Amino acid sequence: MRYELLDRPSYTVARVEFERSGERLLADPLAVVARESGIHHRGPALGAAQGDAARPRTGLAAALDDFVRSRRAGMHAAPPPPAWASPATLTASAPREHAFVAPPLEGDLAVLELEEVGSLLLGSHAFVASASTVTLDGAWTGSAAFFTPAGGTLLRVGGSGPLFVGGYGGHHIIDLDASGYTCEVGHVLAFTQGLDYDVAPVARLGRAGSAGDGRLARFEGRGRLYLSTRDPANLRGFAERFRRTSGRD
Amino acid sequence: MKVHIGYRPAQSVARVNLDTGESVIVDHSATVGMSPNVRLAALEHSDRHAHGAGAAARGAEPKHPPSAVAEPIQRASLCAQGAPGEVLLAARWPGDLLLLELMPGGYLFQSTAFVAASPDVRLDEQLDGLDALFSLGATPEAAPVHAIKARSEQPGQLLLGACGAIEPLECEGELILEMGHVLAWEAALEVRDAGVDVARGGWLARLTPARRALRCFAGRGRVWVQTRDPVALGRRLGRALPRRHA
Repeated sequence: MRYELLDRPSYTVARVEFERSGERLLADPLAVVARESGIHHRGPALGAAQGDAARPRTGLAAALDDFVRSRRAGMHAAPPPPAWASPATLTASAPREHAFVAPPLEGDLAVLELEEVGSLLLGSHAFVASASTVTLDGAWTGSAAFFTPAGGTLLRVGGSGPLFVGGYGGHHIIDLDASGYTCEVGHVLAFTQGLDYDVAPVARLGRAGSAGDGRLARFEGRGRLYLSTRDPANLRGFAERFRRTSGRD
Repeated sequence: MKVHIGYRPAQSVARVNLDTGESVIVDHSATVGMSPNVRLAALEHSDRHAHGAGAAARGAEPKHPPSAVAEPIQRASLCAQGAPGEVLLAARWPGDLLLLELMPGGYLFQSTAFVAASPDVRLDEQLDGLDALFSLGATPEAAPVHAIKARSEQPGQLLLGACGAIEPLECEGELILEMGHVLAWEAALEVRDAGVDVARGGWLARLTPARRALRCFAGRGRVWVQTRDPVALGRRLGRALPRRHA
């Protein structure tokens, strides 16, 4: 599988070229921009036919939806499966076929070759696509604790091949040495396995929808930390103030 | 403090380098990350929050939904302890950052734009007339943003985040500007009401016309405009969300 990143850094899209018939790309269904007609697409259908509850959610849409859902009295619909657990599968029927994938929000897209970077821990919101040889595990103990209460899962990523990672805004890489680093949870895209981390609430003054809901992650050890320069929760919190009230315009 | 702005213009991030013991005042939501020796030294709540809440407690009926009152600003003082440190800061939406060196007269800026300032910079939000600058002629509480005046007796820096790109405009006489796009201006400029622009398009737009506050900037000085209006963005997003129950 070859790839090329276009329109960097604000509106990055990956052009993926399959090298052989039967090669597969797993992708967030909302991240698939285009594909050649010979590529077989299998995955959850989008749209009204399955209803909104069946729609895989990601990015800002998921953040807005989760926020509204959590505050709607009497609404207890089962959440749809996350995009990483129910991805679309693109299978090439011939060499040199092309597909395009992009993160739902404006911003950059990075390709991490797992043979080079090693095993990772990845925020589920940052999953865009991967080779089928990449493994994603969201069932390990502590996977949900990192992003709580904002929602999301910390995925263990292993295997080999390219992993396409996207967030909101640009990507900022911090190479950690012994001194460590502290960052807002909402800005964390991924980090290399082996880094020690601790998440703690930070004193805030009741600001709804703030970044990471006021949680700071402190990392120590040697490794690499991938941050996004924007946090969807910040935009969500701002938009929430403009929600209309029933009975008003 | 030394400020380096990277990833310009759409995804700008400021790396603020602090000497040992040096502090920076930041908007809480602007913090991306920091070195581990940077500590939260103090937390300050804008009195604007009390202002909006007080209005609601008095029974005032805002023209906009309660959610659209001026946003409370939470400022934190971050201090590098024991060694030099760094803080990463960004605006909440895609856009550029503007670094201003404080001059004697000071600056005024839109409240959504505040990212950081030197500790000696005084930020005034309760000056006469500031409430009305961004309003549409309704009560001051109806304006979802407000103006803040920054001034300092010492040399200092002010870091602002724009929605979109930033264009500096030189005012030599008069300039008419739509306030949603105004990021900051030199305090020496006089600002006068220039009315409300009601944009009317098709039949649907006539039912809910977009109203925009216009102001006339007069004198000699610089105005920085942002190429997108954050309040317009907020209203678009707000309309796309389900209504809240009163």
